[in-house]
Formats: sequence, structure tokens, C-alpha cells
Amino acid sequence: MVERLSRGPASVSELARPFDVAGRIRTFQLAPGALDPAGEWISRQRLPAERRLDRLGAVLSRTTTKGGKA
Amino acid sequence: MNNVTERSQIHATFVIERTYPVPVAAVWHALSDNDVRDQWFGAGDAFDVQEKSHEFRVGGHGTEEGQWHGGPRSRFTSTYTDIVDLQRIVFTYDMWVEGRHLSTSVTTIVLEPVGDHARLTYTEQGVHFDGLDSPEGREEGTKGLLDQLGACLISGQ
Repeated sequence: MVERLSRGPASVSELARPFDVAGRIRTFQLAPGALDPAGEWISRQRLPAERRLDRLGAVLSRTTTKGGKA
Repeated sequence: MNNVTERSQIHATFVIERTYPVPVAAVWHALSDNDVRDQWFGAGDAFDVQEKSHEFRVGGHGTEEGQWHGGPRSRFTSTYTDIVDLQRIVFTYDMWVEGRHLSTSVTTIVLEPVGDHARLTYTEQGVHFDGLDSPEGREEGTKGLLDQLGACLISGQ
């Protein structure tokens, strides 16, 4: 599967074909570097950054709901 | 334990994009005002803060040092290098864990209006030193982060 994805995006049914299972049509793509040390570094840095931006979104939705200064 | 540190450096970049259902000015305020920023930027309850500062101006510094509950001591320092009102923020930051230098990064935040909403694009380019993250610390940190993400999503509803 990794080998197939390394060649480019693929749908579930395309990925599932060798395994003889059914899948809905959703396309998957291997993130560049997902399997090397740089990919590890990215996932470690990316999660806190994403968490912060989601918290920012929560704060923004609270301030607008209250109709306060935004 | 091996006292000899094997030196290595890994370079990597990632991009996160979010669109918030508020005007650009509201997002800018949350990024730049210390009181609002405190509501989302901090590491949360699993982290005891011992030193904290933030100065939003070009050349201004930010610091956050403390201890994860049952985990390592960490230190974050940052410096703003570029600020364009309502459009762009660039800062560099460094991470230390237990006194060891983990990474140096350049982060670029770009804001743009999309109708009445604001799109935020967060790009981080970094160099990660000496493979210092231990798998145990990583798992602990990730669990804490996921817990906080869940709590935050609930409080945001």
C-alpha cells in the first residue's frame, strides 16, 4: 500500500484491490516524508501547533457568541 | 546511559490552514493581545508554568518555561522578526527539553479575508537536533495534547 501511495494519490478501491475488499471512493495520498525522521519531527511539531490553532478557534467562537469585543 | 551525544540535524517544513468564522481583525486581536492570547496559546493544565512573557513587536521576545506533570521540563523562547498589521506575523522559536536544545524554527502566519471569514495559514520551517525526543516522552506529550484538544473542542461548542 505504501509502495502504491509513493507513486501518487490513490482511491480506496484502488488500494483495496490486491486485498479483495470493498471500499468507498476516497482518495489517499502519502504525506511527503511521512516515513522518514523528518516526518517524525513534523508530526511532533505539527500536533501542538494544530492544537493551538483549534484552541484559538474555540476562543474566537466564544467571543463572537458573546457579542463582545472581537 | 550514554554520555556521548550523537549529533544530527533534520530539516522539515509543515503547513496548517484554518478558516475561522470571524473577521481578520478578530483573529489578529487574539494573536496579538496578551489577555486573549493567554486563553489559547498556553500549554494547558498538564503544564506548570514557571516563567512566561510575551511582547508583540518586531524584536519582541516570548518565553514559556515550566514542567509537564510527571514529565520533562521544557523551555520555549521566541522572537518576532516581521509584523505587517492584519496580514502577516513571522517569528523564530527554540525549544529545550531538560536543558537540551530540541529545535529552532521559523514560523510564518498569514491572514487573509475569505468573505466575512478569516483564513490563517501557518507555515513552520525547522531544524531538529540530535534526535532528542525519546519515544516515551513523545507518547506522554501526545496523550496530554490529545486530551486538551478534546476538552477544547467541547468548550468551543
